[in-house]
Amino acid sequence: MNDRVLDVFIDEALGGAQPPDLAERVTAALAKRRLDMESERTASSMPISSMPTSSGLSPRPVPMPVPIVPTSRQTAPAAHSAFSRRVGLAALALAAALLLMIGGNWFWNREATNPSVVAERTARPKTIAQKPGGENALAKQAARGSIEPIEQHSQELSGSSQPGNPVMPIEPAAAGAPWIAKSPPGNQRVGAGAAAAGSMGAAMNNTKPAAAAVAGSAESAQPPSGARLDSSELDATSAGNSVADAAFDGAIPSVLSSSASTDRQVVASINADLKNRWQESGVRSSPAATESEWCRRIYLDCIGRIPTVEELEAFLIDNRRDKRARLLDLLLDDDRFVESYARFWTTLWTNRLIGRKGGMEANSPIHREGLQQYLRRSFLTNKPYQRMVYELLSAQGGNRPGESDYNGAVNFLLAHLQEKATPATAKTAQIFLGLQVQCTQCHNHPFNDWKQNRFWELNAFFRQARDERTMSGNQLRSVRLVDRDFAGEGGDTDEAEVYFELRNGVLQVAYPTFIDGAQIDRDGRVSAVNRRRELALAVVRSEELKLAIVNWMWSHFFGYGFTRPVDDMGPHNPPSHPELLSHLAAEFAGHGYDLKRLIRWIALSDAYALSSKYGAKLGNAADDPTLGNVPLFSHFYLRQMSAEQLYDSLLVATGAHLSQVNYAQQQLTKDRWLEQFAIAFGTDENDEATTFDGTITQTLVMMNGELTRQATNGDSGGFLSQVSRRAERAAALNELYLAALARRPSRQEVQVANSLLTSHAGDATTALEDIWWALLNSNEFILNH
Amino acid sequence: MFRNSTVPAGMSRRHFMQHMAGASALAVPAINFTNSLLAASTEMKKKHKACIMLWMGGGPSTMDIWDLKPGTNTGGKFTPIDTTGDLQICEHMPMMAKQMKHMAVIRSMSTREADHNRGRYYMHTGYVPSTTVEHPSYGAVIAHELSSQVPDLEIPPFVSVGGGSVGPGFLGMTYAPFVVDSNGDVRNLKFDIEQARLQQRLLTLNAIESNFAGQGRGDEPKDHEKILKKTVSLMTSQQMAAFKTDKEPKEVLERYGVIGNAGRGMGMGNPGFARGCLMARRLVEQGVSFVEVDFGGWDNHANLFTTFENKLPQLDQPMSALIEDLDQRGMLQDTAIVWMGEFSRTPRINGTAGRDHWARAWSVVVGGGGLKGGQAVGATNEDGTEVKTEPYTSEDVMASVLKGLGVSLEKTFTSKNNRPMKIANSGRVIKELF
Amino acid sequence: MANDPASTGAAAPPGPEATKGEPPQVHLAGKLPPVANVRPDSNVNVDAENQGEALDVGRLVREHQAGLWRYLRVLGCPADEAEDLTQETFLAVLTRPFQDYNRQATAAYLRQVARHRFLSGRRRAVSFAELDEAEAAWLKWAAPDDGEELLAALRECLQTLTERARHALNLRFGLCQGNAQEASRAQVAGALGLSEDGAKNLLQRAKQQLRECIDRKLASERRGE
Repeated sequence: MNDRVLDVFIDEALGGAQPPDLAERVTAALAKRRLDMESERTASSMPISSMPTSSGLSPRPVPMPVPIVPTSRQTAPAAHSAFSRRVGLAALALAAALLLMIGGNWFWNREATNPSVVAERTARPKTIAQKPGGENALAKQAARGSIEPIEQHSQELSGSSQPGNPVMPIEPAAAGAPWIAKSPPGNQRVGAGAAAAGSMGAAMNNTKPAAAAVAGSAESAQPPSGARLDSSELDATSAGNSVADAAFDGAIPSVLSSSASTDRQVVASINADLKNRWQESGVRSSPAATESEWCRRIYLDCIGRIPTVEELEAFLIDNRRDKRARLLDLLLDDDRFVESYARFWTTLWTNRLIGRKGGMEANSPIHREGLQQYLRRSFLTNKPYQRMVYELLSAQGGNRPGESDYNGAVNFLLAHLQEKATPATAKTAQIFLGLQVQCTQCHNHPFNDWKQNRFWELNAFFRQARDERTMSGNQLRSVRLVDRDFAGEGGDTDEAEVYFELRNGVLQVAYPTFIDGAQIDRDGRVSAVNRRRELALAVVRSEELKLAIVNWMWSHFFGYGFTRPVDDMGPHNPPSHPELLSHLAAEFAGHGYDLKRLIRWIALSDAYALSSKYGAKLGNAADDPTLGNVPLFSHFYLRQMSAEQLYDSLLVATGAHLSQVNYAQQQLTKDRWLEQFAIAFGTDENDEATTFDGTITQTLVMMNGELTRQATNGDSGGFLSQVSRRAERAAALNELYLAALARRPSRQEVQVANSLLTSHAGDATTALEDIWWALLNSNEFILNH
Repeated sequence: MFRNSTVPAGMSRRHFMQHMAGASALAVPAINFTNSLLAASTEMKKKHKACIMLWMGGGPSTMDIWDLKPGTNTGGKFTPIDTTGDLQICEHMPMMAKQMKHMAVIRSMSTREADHNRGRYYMHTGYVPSTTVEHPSYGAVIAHELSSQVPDLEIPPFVSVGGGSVGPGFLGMTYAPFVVDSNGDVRNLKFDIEQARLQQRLLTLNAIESNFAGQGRGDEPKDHEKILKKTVSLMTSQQMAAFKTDKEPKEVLERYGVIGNAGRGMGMGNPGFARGCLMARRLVEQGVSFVEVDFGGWDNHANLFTTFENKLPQLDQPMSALIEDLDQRGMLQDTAIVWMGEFSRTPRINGTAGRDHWARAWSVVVGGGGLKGGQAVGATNEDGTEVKTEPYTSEDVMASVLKGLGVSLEKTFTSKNNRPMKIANSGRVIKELF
Repeated sequence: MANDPASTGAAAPPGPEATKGEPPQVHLAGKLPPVANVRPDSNVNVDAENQGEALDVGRLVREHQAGLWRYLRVLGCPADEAEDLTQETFLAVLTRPFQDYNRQATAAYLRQVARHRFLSGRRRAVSFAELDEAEAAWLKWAAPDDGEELLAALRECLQTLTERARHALNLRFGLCQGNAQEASRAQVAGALGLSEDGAKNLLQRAKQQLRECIDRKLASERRGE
């Protein structure tokens, strides 16, 4: 007898899961569903555009929607139909089987890394920058306007396109990648620094025409970040990395796949995949969001704050067809925004890597600012993701600026080396590989095939790592992350092993072995094998790296990833859109692990531009992940701003960002403010949560907190004082609404404002303070919609 | 606080709220404030039911606290002592020993979640994590069931001191834990403008708020609206004084271990848990239905015994003080106390003198709230590796506490995807507790 | 639910293409029981008009739910998901014209729908070979009576095991009233003081014994003994 049958029945016989009684539920749900259908029928007169048409390969049933009719003689009996359907079902099953076989291995497939392939690639490097022909072709295509899937949604100001305008290609210049191969290994440190600066310069130069053309008001738009880029920080490249970088360059060729698609093609493939899925699932997509909603979103999701009124208006009055791509170019590459971009992603990644509390307490071995500085530099130069991960995992050196071998990247692992580096093992798997393995420290994974030994085999890679602390008196002065010979827990350096206990107390041995089973030399001497460097190389070559980052990025922009939770991937938790995920992952790798490019693809997709309105009338009530349903992305999923986004948005709203000078100081103030929301769980795995989640605590901060107080003070010299100086009240009111909500007030809202003004005896400043307070406290403000 | 900062002299809170309500005639319907009468103080505060959970984040080794196995391989180095109940507990819990007549140790807990996050979720909800449903935690369920007993409560019915709890799931943000730190400082509570002006701001806000909530964008905009109302009610509430433990007499502060060194070992300890326990009593007195007090640091993979010598006194003094205090005030009968962590630790002592995660056989402590104390319920085998009587689960503990508090176990919730959910996940009542 | 057309906008009345009388889809849908060609408006008050004839939903559900649920479990659903899918399957089937001619046919039909729902939730994560095997085993052992006989036989056979074997099975299955997943083999090993391999062997032996015992019992019952 089949094992599964037996298991299920044993479970039931022994009092485990029992069959449920569903009669009442089904009856009730049926009645409710009929009612819904009645109302929907009256509400919608549209024909069902979402009916499946071709998809003969689809494994889904997608039955034709059929109105409820009374059971009658006209209805064929189920028995009959069950038999007559047999042929059809067989075909369907076959098709499904084929599909499964084709894609069955999607997750564990691994890029071949055999040396000959690598060598071949190194011999014929092809970078985007070396393909001017391709770009020209694309530019021409864009100029003709032949392909423009993005702009069909523009509603408010969809002016005529101006063919005369010079149209910039979507492709960003240089893509930041080529410098890897160009620097001779021996001279890595200098080479990397210079090349990085050069690459940035190139990016800026290239975007300038676009930036200048974007809006007449661009000059008047305030620079969004106060602190200017301190160039000395950029020069302080980490010394400890010089050798490691050479190793990286030798092993990871900086080759861009020659078969990589253009941005347009990738965006089109996203659109097609999602659209197919809507059709298969019988949902319609919501209508497009307004242009200003889109603009607000993209500012929030790309640079972590809402747009200023000037920025919003500049976008709205732009009437070129590719205005969205241009805005993205501006936010990602223009020197007025690159700083905000880097700061926002630095914050996100700092929280991911060391948590909101990491390095916040006195005498912590973690230097939070050091990590932030490293990340900021990486995002400023759009460091390829592969390289960033490599550096984080293999970093050596001192943890804070001023140390001779300072390397801020060490702070990631320094935060997780305790308890035999088990947190480092778990975090590395979770963040970079999308695998949740922490529980396999003690026992086999209950849901996937992760065995306990694999955890410890991964852990063995971290065991040369040491944190060496320098004290001055009682104070921790600095910490450096170094690699030292590891004698193994058995004391044999030649075979440096790690022990772990099975549940029954039996001791077992583990040697460094990557998740794909690849083993490295067991020698524990750093001179023979640098285990972290080996691990770093294995991680950045892995298929999982791409899948995990694409999934995470997607969830950043859409509110939900392809898996839930987003960092728990694997055969036990199949993704909602497997083809799309693996396609994006392949393209991402093919484009040199360029994070900004990935952002462009996702942000320019049709789905990202959909309204957050949804429901039965729009034909997508079922696409509601809060009900536990698989997200279909048929509308924009409303979500609350993060505490970080809110903070920066409020800074813009107060104008406070203009007054603060020092980047580090600014960051510290912000971290302190954010810290109040973080809660640690008191476990050894450094788990934490946030209370900035729509609770009373958060509402109190918004109503009475210091930031709001500053923002709503009309005499502060900030944004509100500027607005209230306006002669025309209607304009002032408009400006407040645009600034907070990216829309103008409704008639009713104007009415309320008027009565407010009356009750303040015509004192406009006071009235505007109140309105501004109300706007900042509204759901429409705090929700990214 | 209220009188000092915001309400003009001579104006009662009720008067103030009426003003606020009266303003709704202005242009748009005003936010509906809770129809609050000035809390009719003492009467109603006494008789309502409530629950206090002492949450031991990290998973404490219960066989070194409540179910000792002296003389076995697994037993550890502590000695059991007699108590006022029919059971023995660890020598480092002498003050609790005097209170054990009120408490029951359920020694036959057997669960399956040995990962922190999954364990925390499971022990807080009675369900394992699911991708399709977010389950409400103990606190949310009890707040949902009991908060109607105290209609004048302006503080949220579910308070988490120190955080670490689990959310309200499908019961909605109204039953979310209100998280405060153990100092009882609720930040940003004061509004520094005149009340009339606050009222105008709220009217303006309401116009924006309801406009957006009515646009068919799901539940989140509506939830935001609800929380706003609760927040305003909180901001103007005198009940917030319940968070202020320093108003207690010195003897009480000392007994709990908030100040001084009345107990042993508290001098160097962190008084956070002590404050939390005291605050819990004050909050329950005020009418709060569920208070969870967080006490972390039990993830003792290494050096467990030396850690416990310092840590157990920090548990012993405040916990015993809380029970004694509730008893003396006649509140213990109506207030259930639950002590638990996400799981416990392996009977085997590992190479670094610690114990690792273990959920197969462990203990939870309950008492008060109509539960029969002074006993050990169930038992583990001689080296603590197995439960040898009927095994109990998170659901069973929850069902028993609910029964003790008079909540019907027939209650069924409906999750967002229309799935009926029996309260406490159909847990069985542990009969020895009644 | 997300994949359930019946619960979404797709449940609206047939569009022009359907009223023009074109054959519906090349799809499963096309092979569904033919639909009465009723205008949308005429569906109002369906229930009121047809109370006499209406299908007894409660009875139908009660008759088939256990089998359907077990079948989904055999396909690999955890208990919760099996419950959800069972419910969805009934809803999907019952919101279409449907007539319950005989038990076996209806059961087979429900299984097909459930299987598709299961697959569409999984997409590619399923091993088809395993699924087919599970399916075949279901048909062979459980399909005739939704597994009742098998369950009864199994209960008897469990009594023939040694106490230790039963205990091991109890640890691995059952114990937790269905909402926690099974204990891992390592946990069983820990609880029984065995090595992991030891626990594995013990469990496998126990299951093999059960298998043989069930084979004997069912064979003899089917011979009419």
